[in-house]
Amino acid sequence: MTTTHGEAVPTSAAGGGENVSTVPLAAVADLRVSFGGSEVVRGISLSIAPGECVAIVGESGSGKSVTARTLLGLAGPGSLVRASRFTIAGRDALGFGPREWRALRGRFAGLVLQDALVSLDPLRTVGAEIAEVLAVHEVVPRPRRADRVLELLESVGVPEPELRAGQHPHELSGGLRQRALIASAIAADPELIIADEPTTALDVTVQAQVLRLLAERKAAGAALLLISHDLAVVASIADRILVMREGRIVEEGPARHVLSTPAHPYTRALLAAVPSAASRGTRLATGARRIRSAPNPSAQVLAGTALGHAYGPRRVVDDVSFTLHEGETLGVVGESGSGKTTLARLALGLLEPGHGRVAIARALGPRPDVLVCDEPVSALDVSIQAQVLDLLADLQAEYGTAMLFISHDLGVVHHVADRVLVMKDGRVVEEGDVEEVFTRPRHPYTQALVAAVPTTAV
Amino acid sequence: MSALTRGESREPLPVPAALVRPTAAELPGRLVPPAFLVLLAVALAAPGLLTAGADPLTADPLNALAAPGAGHWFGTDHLGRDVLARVVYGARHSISIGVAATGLAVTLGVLLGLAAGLSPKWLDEALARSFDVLSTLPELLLALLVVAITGPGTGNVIFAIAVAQIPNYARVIRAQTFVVRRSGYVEQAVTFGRSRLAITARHILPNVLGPIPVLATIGIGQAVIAGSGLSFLGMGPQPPAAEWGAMLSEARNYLRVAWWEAFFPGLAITLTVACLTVVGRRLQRRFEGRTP
Amino acid sequence: MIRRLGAGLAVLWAAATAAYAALLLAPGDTVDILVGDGPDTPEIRADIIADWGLDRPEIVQYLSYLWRLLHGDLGRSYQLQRGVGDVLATQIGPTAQLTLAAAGTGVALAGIIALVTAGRGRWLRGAASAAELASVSVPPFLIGIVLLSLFSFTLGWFPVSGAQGPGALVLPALALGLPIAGVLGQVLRGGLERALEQPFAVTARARGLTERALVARHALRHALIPAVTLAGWFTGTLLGGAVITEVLFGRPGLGQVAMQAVTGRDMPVVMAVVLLSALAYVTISTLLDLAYRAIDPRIRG
Repeated sequence: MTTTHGEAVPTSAAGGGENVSTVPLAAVADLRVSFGGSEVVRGISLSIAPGECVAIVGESGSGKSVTARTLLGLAGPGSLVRASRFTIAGRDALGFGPREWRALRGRFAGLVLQDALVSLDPLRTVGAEIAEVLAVHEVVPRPRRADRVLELLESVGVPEPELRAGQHPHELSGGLRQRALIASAIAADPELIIADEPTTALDVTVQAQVLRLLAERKAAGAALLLISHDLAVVASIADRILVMREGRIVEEGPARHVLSTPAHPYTRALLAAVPSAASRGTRLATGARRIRSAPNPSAQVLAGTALGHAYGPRRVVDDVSFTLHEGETLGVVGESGSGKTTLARLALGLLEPGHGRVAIARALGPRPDVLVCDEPVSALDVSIQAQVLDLLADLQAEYGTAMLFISHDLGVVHHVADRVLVMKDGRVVEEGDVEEVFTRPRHPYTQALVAAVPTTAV
Repeated sequence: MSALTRGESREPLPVPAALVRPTAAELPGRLVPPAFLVLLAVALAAPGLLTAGADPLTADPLNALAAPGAGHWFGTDHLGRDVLARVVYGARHSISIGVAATGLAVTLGVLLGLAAGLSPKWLDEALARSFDVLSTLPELLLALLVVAITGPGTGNVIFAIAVAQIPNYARVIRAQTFVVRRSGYVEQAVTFGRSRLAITARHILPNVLGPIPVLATIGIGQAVIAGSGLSFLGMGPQPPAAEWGAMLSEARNYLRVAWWEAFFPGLAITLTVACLTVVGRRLQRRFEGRTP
Repeated sequence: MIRRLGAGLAVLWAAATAAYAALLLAPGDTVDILVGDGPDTPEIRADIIADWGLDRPEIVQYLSYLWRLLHGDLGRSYQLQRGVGDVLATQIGPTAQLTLAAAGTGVALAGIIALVTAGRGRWLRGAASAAELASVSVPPFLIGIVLLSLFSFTLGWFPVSGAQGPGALVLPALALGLPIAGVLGQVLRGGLERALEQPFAVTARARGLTERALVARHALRHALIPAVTLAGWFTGTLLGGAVITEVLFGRPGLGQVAMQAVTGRDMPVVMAVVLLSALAYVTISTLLDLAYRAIDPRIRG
């Protein structure tokens, strides 16, 4: 059965009529998937109506990816799938053989994975990858395929499609190749798009573009199953959210409900643990207020003056200056390739600056005065991330340690930092008090960054 | 003074396949290779225990090419020598060639690889190229060059095999050195202001040696093969010394009438190398399983 | 590409220099070494001194040695009383035949092993693993001996020795090709299995591809990458194995020439064989490097 959901009633593309919206594209009941005796999906039920966007949110190991792949018959080698009900497009999928599954894959449902650098065959051109779907399902006769590939690339917003179709994934930027991956998933015009962490490896502005693209496909009539570890990512696009934990669905409901009035403690903890402007000065794991000592502006512990570093002709850090005081956290934000990590290494003396100098206050004693953190939480689940950030805050409160905190995640920096540097192409484009910079950004780049950050606010 | 924490901006890897515990049926396969290596150790240390007093060099022409039986379990060769005794005593020649060549190659390889990995770029490049040149020559041809100059003999064969195998170890050590040099703990040590020598000795050397036991175990096996190949061609220990390759070389003239003269030394080489390889690979899996 | 050729030439130069250094560093008088076990007359000694310029400064000797090599002059065998180039030219044919046949056999068998066993059940994989272990544990000459006693002595299908007719090539090519098949097959299979676990394989399956098409269009190419990096091992196994195989099967060829030269301490011939082997190595590894570039677009830029 389908749930009611405001704006996402399917219209023309799915065929129209009441009839369609009552037959779910995919429906499973009491789905269980196990690998060699350990059950990773433990009895979940889920249905996706035409034109609807359902999001499954959970931390790693929650079984969300396995659930998504099982819907394509791709649970993986050694898997055992059981369910009391498992229908795909109205047909009972429990009895499907390999041939039936293959007929559905790509045609009925397309799959978009994380990181197109490895999710597209790195040895083949983007065009060949997209054309493969057309060939397998014979949706377009051979002589027309090349043209169709270009149309598809164009439709997902890839500029110069003739050039791009002949390139390999590594020759494309992260955003373009993720678009190409989406183009290959939608090539045979499937009714359902399954997107498993489709924006996870991407910079925040690119992430926003990819989400917009998926929203466009939904507006064009495709149903969407979105898998993410990040509630904020799905907030803007999902009609319904299912929160998974340890193979079970702990909460499900319309997106607004789940985000604004979460019923289950785990959902509340997940939401509270997301570092953001609102969480400043609180312990992420518990939500309690945290007492912290103010930075001491008279005691400078680390300073860089007009730092520069180049790899060959490329200036990765160009004329960057900063100061860091006792007990202070200086955030450095920027997208990949902005020079953040090089700056960290310059600050630590691990790299010789091409010019400029680093001054470190001499300190006696066993404890470091400065902690340089380079993406310390970027690969972590939100609950672990919360614990690490709380720990760093405790260290700082207790010892007055200064921190140079580098992250691509604006929410994390907003949570921890006192001041912030915004880097782009090796240069600092804006700096100042974190509150000031993130709420009233002056530089257009900062404005774009801030605007692109997904939030759970509804 | 300052410390670094760094996260990888990647998703966590998928859960690895569960480690498979050996079943009862697999247990013999797990135990046989180490057991055979123990047997080899006995053959090296106290060959008399295994030969029932037979001597590898005593010829008995009247009793030549006798089939395996009660008196001679592995039969006798074309000169009437006891094949069992020759195989057992032969372990000394064959295995000492393998062990000595590997030891020499590892020592030189570690030194050269470490030197390359820690040197300025131009010197590193030069050393890396010289490893390449060295490995252009198949060890057999390198050995031919050495033997042509120095004449046949055990020492020369050891030297030839060692030289040929240096690049294998040097390359691995060089690559490891690069990894270790850039790793967090060496960076920590640098930021803590430790001296270069101290860092090399305390942090780099122990950490680059990790793959060596595994490589050397497998390397000994390959050196035994190379050594027996050279002996087969008549360049190793000279007759009447019992060396497995040399025994096979003599035995091939009697294949039609006395399979055992070739069979047992061939089996000895094969089992030795196979067991070393299996044990080496098992060590490798254990190493890889342990280091994250 | 120019860089690659330059590196190849550098390797050849280094090999030539190493062979020359070995000659000079060897204990004893260089003339004695060059005479070796051959006829030792004052005329021959005078020839050697003239040919190698031993009466001139060492740097001139070395440069003129390189100069001669550049012109394809490999020197003279004082034992055989012939030019080294002539000696090698007559013997290169059978060796090329043997190594090419062995390489073809090895690669073909490896491909079959990998395709048949990748991702299959325990028994098949176990058998392939055992075969691979055997191929690295059995010395190449022992494989030859086993093949000889089985197919020549017992069954009488193939001649015991010589190089007459294609029948005489079968066993030597097998003896030389089997170790290659074992190792290469294992590497290919590992590459296939790794490729089939990659995210792009999931994507390709999600397009509706059959497993067979997935292997043919995607995984096989990935599996070739680690195989291509075995160039050095491959060349060494072929060339080194060729010597042993030729001796064992009594085939004419460079291996026999090399063995006789070593036994008779005929240095000019030994040095030429070493150089030829370096040339073969450089050629094969350059070709495989080109193949690597064709396979993997990521290393082109």
